[in-house]
Amino acid sequence: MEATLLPQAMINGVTLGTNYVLMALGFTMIFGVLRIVNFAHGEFYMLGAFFVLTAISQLNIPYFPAAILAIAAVALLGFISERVIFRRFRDKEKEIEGMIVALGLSIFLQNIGLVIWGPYDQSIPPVFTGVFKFGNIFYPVERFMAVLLSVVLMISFYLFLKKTRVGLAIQALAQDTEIARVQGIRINRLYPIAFAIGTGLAAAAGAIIGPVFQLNPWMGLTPQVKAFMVVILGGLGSIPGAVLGGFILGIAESFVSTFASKAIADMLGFIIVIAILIFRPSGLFGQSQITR
Amino acid sequence: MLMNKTSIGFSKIQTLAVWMLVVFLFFLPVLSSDEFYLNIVISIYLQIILAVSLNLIIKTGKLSFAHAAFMGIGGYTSAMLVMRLKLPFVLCLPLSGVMAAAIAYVVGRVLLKLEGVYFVLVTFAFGEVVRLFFVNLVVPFGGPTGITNIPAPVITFFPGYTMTFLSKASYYYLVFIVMLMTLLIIRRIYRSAIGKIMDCTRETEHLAEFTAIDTFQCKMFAFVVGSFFAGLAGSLYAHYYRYISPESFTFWETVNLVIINVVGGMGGILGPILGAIFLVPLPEFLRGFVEYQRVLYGLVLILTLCFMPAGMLGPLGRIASRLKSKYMTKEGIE
Amino acid sequence: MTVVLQTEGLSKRFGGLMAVNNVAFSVQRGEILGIIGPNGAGKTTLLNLISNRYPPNTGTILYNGKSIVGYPPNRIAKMGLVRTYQSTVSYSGATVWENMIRAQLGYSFLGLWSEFLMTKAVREKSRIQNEKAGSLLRFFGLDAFKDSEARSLPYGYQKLLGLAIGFAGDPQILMLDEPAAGLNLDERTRLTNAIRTINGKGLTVILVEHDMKLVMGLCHRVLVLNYGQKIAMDVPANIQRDEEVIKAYLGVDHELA
Repeated sequence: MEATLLPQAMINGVTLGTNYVLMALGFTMIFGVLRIVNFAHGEFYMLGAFFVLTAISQLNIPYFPAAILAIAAVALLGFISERVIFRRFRDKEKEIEGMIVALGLSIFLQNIGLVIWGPYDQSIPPVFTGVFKFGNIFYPVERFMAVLLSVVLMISFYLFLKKTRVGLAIQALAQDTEIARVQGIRINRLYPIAFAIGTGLAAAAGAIIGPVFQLNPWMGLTPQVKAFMVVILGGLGSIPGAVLGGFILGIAESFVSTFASKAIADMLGFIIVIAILIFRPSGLFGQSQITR
Repeated sequence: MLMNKTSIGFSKIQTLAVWMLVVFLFFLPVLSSDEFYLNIVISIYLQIILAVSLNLIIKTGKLSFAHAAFMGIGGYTSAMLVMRLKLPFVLCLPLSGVMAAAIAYVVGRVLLKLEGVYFVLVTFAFGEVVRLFFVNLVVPFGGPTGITNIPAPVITFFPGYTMTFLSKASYYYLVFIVMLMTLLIIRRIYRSAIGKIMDCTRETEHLAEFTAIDTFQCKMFAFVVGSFFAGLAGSLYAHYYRYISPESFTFWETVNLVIINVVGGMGGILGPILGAIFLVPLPEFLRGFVEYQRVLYGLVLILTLCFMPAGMLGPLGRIASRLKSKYMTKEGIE
Repeated sequence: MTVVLQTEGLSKRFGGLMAVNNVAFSVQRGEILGIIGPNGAGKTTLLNLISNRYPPNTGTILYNGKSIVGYPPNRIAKMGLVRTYQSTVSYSGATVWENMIRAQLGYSFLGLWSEFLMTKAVREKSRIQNEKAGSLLRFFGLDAFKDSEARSLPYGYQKLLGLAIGFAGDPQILMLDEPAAGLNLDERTRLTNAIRTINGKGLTVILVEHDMKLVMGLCHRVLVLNYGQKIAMDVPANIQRDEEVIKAYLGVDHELA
């Protein structure tokens, strides 16, 4: 019995990790490029999951196309949000206002979700069934598929950033707005696109994880907090930091939960966040506060 | 940050009007003993204490997302002191404030070194740590279910005359007095050199430092004093609802306070007061439409920040300045 | 001739770059010292070191014989060593009058309790502050702008306001970071006159500047930096003839020629 706890915790940790990484990627990109702490990120995740549910149950669209539609829809929503709402808060001085506006959006979306879909848990019909069994270790196939899809998405995102023109432009924008502008990069077009991609990633996380867990309008709260923790750990604005941080947090949480308790794992997470913000605010990879 | 210069200076006529309002409010429970309305007004008063004390912290340029946590610290402290140590309420109330202030002092030394969004995030994390602390400790804090059967305040005014603040009317007076004290104190701070120094710290911190202003001490002062009042509010809250749990002071409670400040305007103490008056009763009157009400909250927050950065004080301030320039000379103000 | 400020072996490194390298100089009470040098010579870094914006890697800074390394900026300002910034010269959203009041707040703060209670001493201090604000504005010729927002002032007057703010605390030494940057001829003249007048009242001035004419015409002595090192320190007449200085400024051109 004891012998399986360790590998089981490890597998759970990795699963959790990919979950966190997807959320963190979008969140950190939005901060890195637009300098907005997107408090509504969890809500885009929630919308992703619910859009999939609606597409499947109301429109009879099968899972994969439904997921793609959902992601596109949320990305569009994100695009509009940036153009209409967040564009006023692009200056550094307006950072905090931008954050509070995101908070307002979060409240708005949560409760719109509540109005539309109601407060009760709902579920997306499972897409994959079955369980992998290695000795005493159980690993549901759908979780494995979730991890696989997440990894595929992470790699696609990486390729997008490094290999496409838009991706490179976004990276340039994150590094230095002025220089990017001088180089002829159309900032006004890029900002909403970057935001759309970030929220699209959150929606993707929601669409992927949706079938595994229950859906309700507040399902975005925990992933939001986790994303925020991961990003602090890895460094606000750092992509590799988000990936590394996501796995570290996922695995660490899994182990502490397994061997101690979830409540302690939660508290430890926040204490670590505080410690990092105090002693090494740039996290593992992020930009140092001072160089801003 | 968000602070706008639109503060409404008080002239002699306005001061008189305010005091008349105070007298009227003092007799409110006599005029109307309707429990429903008294409850709302008490809630408004509690939120005013919390919102104005948060305003104090914001005035130095720091947005603390841990404010509700300090309220919780005050509440639990008060409950513990009254129930376990059997201390009289008149002692527990200020001690709750002191406890919150003490923790703010220790924590502030470290947290206040962080800038902008980092400070917001770290106070958010701290608030969560406090909440989880109370959730995890079943002994003595009751864990997730919190503490129940907190006794109503008992105050001995002079030997032989003891009053238990059980009725809403009596509690109204208790909260009203504490609120007035809070407002008077914070208003005095704002009008003194301390308030001006806070403005300097918030607006252009390094200029302030290079003109011999100790901005760190300024921020510490605001943080500690603001948290003190949050602690007081927590104590009043705990003995009013006779119950406290970690759910009473989550991050979302702080968000409500932030909304009150943003929507009401943060220029002085009038802003949060207006914000509380406007926003607190809303849930009560929109009982049937709870979800829509929260939708509205979010929308109002977004719209206010986009179009009315000075909050309600913006348009009100413009009306007031027009009246001012019509009826008053330069000397009358300040 | 008393030495009011003195540095020894002052160095500051940023990453791999020695921004300030082993700089030693002293400033006499009542003089106007100019610090010049080609771009990147380390002038602003030197100023930042003296005003404790960040600590030096090595070296000492003595103010009236006392070491001030590591002291927070507000404490040094209170001790009489005040600097102005090139970019943020004033509280831009506040009126000019407000700015002059705010400039005095830190120096005359009487303690939390007294200020809160608004004691008689505090009220008296407030009255003095008001008077001083008025006289300072008149002195610097800013009186007409009293109720205007600082950011609405013409640029030259904004810089004068910055100077006034620095002066409001009755400093012993005023350190100015490129005070003439962006000013036209008229504004420069106004600025130099103001500096001369306050120097006449006994104030020691250190200024970092690019404008040669201004520096040579205004300063009693000039310190020349190049690549973080002190290459000359003398009266303007000698500096203008100094070979090392000429080489430093023209050296690049020679290379290209």
